[in-house]
Amino acid sequence: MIQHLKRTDASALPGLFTSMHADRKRVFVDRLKWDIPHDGTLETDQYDTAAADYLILQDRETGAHAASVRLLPTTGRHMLADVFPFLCEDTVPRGPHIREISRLIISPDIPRRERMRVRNQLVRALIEYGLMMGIETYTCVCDLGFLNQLLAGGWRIDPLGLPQPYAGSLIGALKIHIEADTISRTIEAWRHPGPALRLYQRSASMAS
Amino acid sequence: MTQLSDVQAFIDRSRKASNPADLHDLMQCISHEMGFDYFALLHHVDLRPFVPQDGCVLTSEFIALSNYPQFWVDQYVSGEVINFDPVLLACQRTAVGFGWAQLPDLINLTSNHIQIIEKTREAGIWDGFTVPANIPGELNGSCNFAVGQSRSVPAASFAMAQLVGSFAFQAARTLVTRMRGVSAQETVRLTARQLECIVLVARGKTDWEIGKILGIAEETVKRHIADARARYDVPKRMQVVVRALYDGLVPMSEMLG
Repeated sequence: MIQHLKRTDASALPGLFTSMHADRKRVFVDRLKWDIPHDGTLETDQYDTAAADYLILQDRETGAHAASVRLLPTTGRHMLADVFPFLCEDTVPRGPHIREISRLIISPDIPRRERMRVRNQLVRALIEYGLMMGIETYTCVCDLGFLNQLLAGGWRIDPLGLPQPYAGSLIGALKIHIEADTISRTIEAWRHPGPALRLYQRSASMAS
Repeated sequence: MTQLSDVQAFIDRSRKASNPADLHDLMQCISHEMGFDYFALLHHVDLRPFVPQDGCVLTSEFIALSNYPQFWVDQYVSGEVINFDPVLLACQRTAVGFGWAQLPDLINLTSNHIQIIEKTREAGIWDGFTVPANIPGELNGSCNFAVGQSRSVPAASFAMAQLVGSFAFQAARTLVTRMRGVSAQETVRLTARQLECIVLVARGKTDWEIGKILGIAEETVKRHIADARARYDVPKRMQVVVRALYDGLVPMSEMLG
């Protein structure tokens, strides 16, 4: 199952956040060559704060990070508003029912045959989290090379602006609508059989 | 209207397209809007056994829509150009759209490729922009926009075409998926003899030849094909072939054998 976590949960889950930031460094910096801050081992940026929500899949055996996505509230600072506002033709969508998706990642340690299943689980968790939290729209910045795959998932997606060249790629901003029928619209190849999201059981002292 | 609002209007309408003809019309309008004369949205498959109707082929596996001149479509399909088309080959090298002028940067152009480019130009399709629509686990596909001779390709519309191409292909994919549902509900059963006759019709045999091959009378062949037509409720024998393919009653390889 995928857990919804905040950074405050990190101390109770030794190694999980660290392995997530290490995977992010391996994928976004080493493999995709993104020009983003890192310390040589971990990729962490100014949006990895208490305001961020994370949906994280933990490897059952090793306890390490297997896949994750970061969600930022759009009422505060977030990437589309701060870094990529030129991708939106109108004003950047903001509001309590809009979250921004970023740093979506599947660990390079996940074998190829498992990756589709993990992706489907992550997508299902995103939809469930959205429905549960009253999120109507996810915004995101997407490499256009990935747009066909993203659209094929079956969810309703609209562009926020025309694609623009950026750091050697073509990127665009999108809004993904989360609706009552989004799960049933998911095409077969993207379907995860059953609920994917589990709320993290915080200790009683923290909950009280 | 900005380019983005045109794209959004296209997306909204394409989601409501319930048949290939609707999507064909939308593609034609938006192509002109962007400054292109032609479009071709297709899965990269051998289209030989299929008879496009008004520029559309739709099966439960793939789709092809275009407003290219009919003689070029015929030449393209019958000459199996699809297997050697440098534009479609380039689609395997990049996931984002490219102007055809970029072809030499994407693939190693052979003399065969150059010959195809020349033939395409002779048919009046001069230059264009192509959006690859490849997805793991699916047939490859692309959405192509082109201009006629002495017209320059509208570079200012490339970003718009990039979005239109991807969203159009998604609408097309939805039609294919829906077709899968429909054919599953309406599967017609044909007898083994009827299927044998249809395979031979697909291979271009006459009733007399089919009779000789199967060792039955020409009249019997005619009756089998007429019965199959009746089961599918279609007026033409070639349509039985297409439907039998749709329904997976006969594999394409056997049709071509």
